[in-house]
Amino acid sequence: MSIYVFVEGETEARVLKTIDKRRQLMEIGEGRGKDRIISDLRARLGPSLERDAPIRLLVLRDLDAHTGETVESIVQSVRDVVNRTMRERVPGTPSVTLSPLPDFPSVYTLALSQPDFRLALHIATYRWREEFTKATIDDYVLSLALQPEVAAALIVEKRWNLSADDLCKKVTSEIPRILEQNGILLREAKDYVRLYAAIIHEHTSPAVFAEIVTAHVPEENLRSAFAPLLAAIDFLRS
Amino acid sequence: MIESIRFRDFRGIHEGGIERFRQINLLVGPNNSGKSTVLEALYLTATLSRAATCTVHYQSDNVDTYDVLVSVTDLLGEHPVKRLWARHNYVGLPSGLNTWQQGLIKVVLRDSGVPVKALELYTGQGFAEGEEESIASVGIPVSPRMEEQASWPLVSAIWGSDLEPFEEGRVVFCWQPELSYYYRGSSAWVLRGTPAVAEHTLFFDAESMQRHIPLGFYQRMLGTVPGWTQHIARTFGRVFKIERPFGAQFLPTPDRQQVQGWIAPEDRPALPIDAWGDGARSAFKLLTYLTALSAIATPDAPALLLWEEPELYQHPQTLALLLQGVANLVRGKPIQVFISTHSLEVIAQITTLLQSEHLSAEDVLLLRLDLKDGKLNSSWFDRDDLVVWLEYGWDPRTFQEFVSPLRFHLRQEEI
Repeated sequence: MSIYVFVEGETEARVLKTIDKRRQLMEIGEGRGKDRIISDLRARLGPSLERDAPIRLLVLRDLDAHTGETVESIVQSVRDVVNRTMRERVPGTPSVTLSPLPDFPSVYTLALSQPDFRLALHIATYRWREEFTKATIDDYVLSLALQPEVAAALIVEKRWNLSADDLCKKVTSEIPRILEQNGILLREAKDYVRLYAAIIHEHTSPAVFAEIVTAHVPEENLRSAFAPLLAAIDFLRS
Repeated sequence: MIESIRFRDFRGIHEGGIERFRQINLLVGPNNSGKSTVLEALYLTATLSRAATCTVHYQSDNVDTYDVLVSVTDLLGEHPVKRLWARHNYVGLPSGLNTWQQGLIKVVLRDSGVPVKALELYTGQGFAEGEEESIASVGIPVSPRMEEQASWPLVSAIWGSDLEPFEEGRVVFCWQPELSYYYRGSSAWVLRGTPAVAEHTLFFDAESMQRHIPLGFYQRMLGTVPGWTQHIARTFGRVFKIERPFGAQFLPTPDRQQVQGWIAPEDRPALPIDAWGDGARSAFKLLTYLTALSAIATPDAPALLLWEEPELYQHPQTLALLLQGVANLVRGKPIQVFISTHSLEVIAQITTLLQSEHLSAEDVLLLRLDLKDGKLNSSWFDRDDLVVWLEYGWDPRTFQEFVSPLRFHLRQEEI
């Protein structure tokens, strides 16, 4: 049974492809920003509701706290579009609510039997630094990239004469301090990701960098870092 | 306007229906998903325009008489049942259950699956001999207080008593066994809304391209529609980007029963349209009929265009211009359009017309049909849905990502 995934950007898509590479049962949409997710969800869900086929949707959202967004407001926007679309397509259906998964409060789920419809909403709430303006999938990627064994693996691949510890120090403190002294503040995880990529001469986008990093992460660490996301996928497959 | 349709045992559809229609409806879906069946049911319904009286002999031996509607000829003067008979290559004549006697048509039903033994149809002037060959169904007008209507016993006999009340519509009973689900004997469908009138109903399919234009239709329109042939030429010229001045002319065929269209440029000899390529022949005939319909349709006598596979014979660019031409002809007119298609280009072009507001979002729906074990389901796509689906490369015909055949071939070659 295929899961359709709504993503904000390319990074989520690449990460998902890496962690689901063995099963490949996901159809991942093009990330065109958070503003498109609600209208895209309506368009995808609406016609599907009238088919006699299971519907499995995964929505991945960042928490843009700097815009006043909250977990509740994101849940409400998804719940509202689901209710509106269901009223339009399946008259007489009662309103639905999204409930958090017991062990993962950043994953909200919905399961209906008629129509056979499951939805999971994963909200990236982890911020690598408290002062970051928002929580994104890049925070998870950065945290993985800074794990000593991952940093070491990336250095070896690049044949770089640098220890993992030195690399992590340059990314997390030395260069940010110089930038700060020059009035340049790093405000979100993606800034650090770009810095990291520049230091190891990985001339690529944060999305591709995320894919490279996750490919070097031991399976166990990957499962631990993305446990909420995997729980969302497991919910859809159960 | 027709708003919805529900079926019992008509052709490949045992049950189910489509719950919402708009002015322009694109029907898509796999082969054998019911697209043509829907078109044919709409055709048979819209052409039920002649008032008649029907005496029904029930199996319970009750006898009752009702006001019904029977079929008459369409825009082109064709008998709908005969037309469907020919479309499906059935042998012999339709309506073998009918007999004619002194202006009366008697129908003796056999294993029809409904508690009716026989029908007797008559009109004030009486049916002419031979008309029994072109009648295979009756329409029963329905209204909000259906259960209080005199025709309720007949409706509940042919449909059942689960008919939800609605403003206006028709229940149609068809006793032609060949048109019933796996020869169950009879079929019925319920149509909500106001169908077109028979003389404004056009069924345009692959066969229509092969035929000449009926003389009766031509004469009627020539005397009714001012500037008709000029309008045909202008519309046809836009679709085929003909810049040289030319006229559209019509000359009788040798049997004088039909006319043939001619394209007559000012600076070259005229050519019959049937000497042109198939795409031009098909488009010319469609535009000939539709320019007329566009002029004669009125709110009291609305029109219906049933168009099967517009993509047939058409180059994609011509197809786009043809669809735009058709959209221009029906926009703001009381003409309801049903198009069945397998073409993503047709879907994309209609979506483009919606995005550019050549067509209004409120006027268009795509309906994706699905027929499983005789049960018809449909999913609708409005403008917003279509725009998103096509932008992302999702295919409404298959509910999957669209994979270009070219991409496929390129990948194959790489391997």
